[in-house]
Amino acid sequence: MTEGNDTSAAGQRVEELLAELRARSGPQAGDVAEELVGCLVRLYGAGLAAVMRIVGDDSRLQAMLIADPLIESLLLVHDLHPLDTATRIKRALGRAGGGAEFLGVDEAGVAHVRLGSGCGSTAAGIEQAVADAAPETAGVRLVPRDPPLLQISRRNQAGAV
Amino acid sequence: MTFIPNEAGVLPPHPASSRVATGLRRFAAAAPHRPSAAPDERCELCGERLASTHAHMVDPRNRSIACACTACALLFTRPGGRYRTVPDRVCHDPRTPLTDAEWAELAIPVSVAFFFVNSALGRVVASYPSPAGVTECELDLDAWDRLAAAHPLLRALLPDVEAILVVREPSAETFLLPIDACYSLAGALRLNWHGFDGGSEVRRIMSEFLAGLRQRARTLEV
Repeated sequence: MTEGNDTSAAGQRVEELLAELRARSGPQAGDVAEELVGCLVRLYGAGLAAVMRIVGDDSRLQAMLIADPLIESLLLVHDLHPLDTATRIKRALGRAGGGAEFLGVDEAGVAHVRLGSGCGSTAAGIEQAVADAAPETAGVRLVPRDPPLLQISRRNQAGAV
Repeated sequence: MTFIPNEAGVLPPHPASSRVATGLRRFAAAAPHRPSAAPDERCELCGERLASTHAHMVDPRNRSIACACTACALLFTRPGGRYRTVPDRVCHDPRTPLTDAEWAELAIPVSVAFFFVNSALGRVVASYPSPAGVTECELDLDAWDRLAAAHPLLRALLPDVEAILVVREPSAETFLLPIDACYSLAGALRLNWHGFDGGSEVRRIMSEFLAGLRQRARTLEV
């Protein structure tokens, strides 16, 4: 995908260009460019916020908007996504497969996820999925899956999978 | 499929981040990196942070003006280098005021003008503040030389870094002043210019600027 319709590619390209400008023209020019990018991002963010106010609670319109990957990623950039954090993380974990389980977000903003057993449940994969779906979280804490030894416990049959 | 509206309070708005915000999200934060009210000005020679009032240096070859810290400004007070520090003296000469006849001989079409020696061109240049900033105008160099012969203040002018400001209205006054003061005056007038003659705001800025000059001005020692 080109940077024209991919938010993360565009973000990466902006960082590269800022780094290039800093290297060529010094930190002052870099600071000005940072503020320039911020100015434009905040302006269209304010525009998106106005659009989402008009959409309001209309769940059909919300679904249509977030079905578009570009629109969804821009809504995430500006904290305007109609789904709350927990719903988005659960949705992302479900898509990743592997049976990872969302446990909640702590006071520090870190998402807690219990790893599943499937092949979609690698630590790096889960962290990326949560970061993409809920960039407002401060990080991911992975809780290991239940120790398999429990499965062969004699007294607690309920722990068996 | 139902969608739950985003409810505030799930997360603090700006959590202490262990994951650094990346991509465009970094720019979406409300706080600007560079508050426009107090721009971070630095010495253009050494990069030292500058106070809001600081010295300037002129690069005569490129006709550019640069911000300087005190140390760099002191370094370039002597002539000969690429840069010349703008001195901070303001002088007037009440003993030999410019007469209306002398002013008319210069044929300058405005009532506020400044004159400086451009060493790259090797001559005096006349300019005036306008809605477009600083506008250069034709100057009769022979007339200027005749005027300078009669007025010690005009002869005291240092090339590139100082200017002669001539004001004819509402009262006739002439000052020798730092050239950066002329540019900051022209800038303030341009930003506030309204209509044909600049309007009341421009007149207020002009009279405050002149009041400041009268306070700072010392009588030229000959």
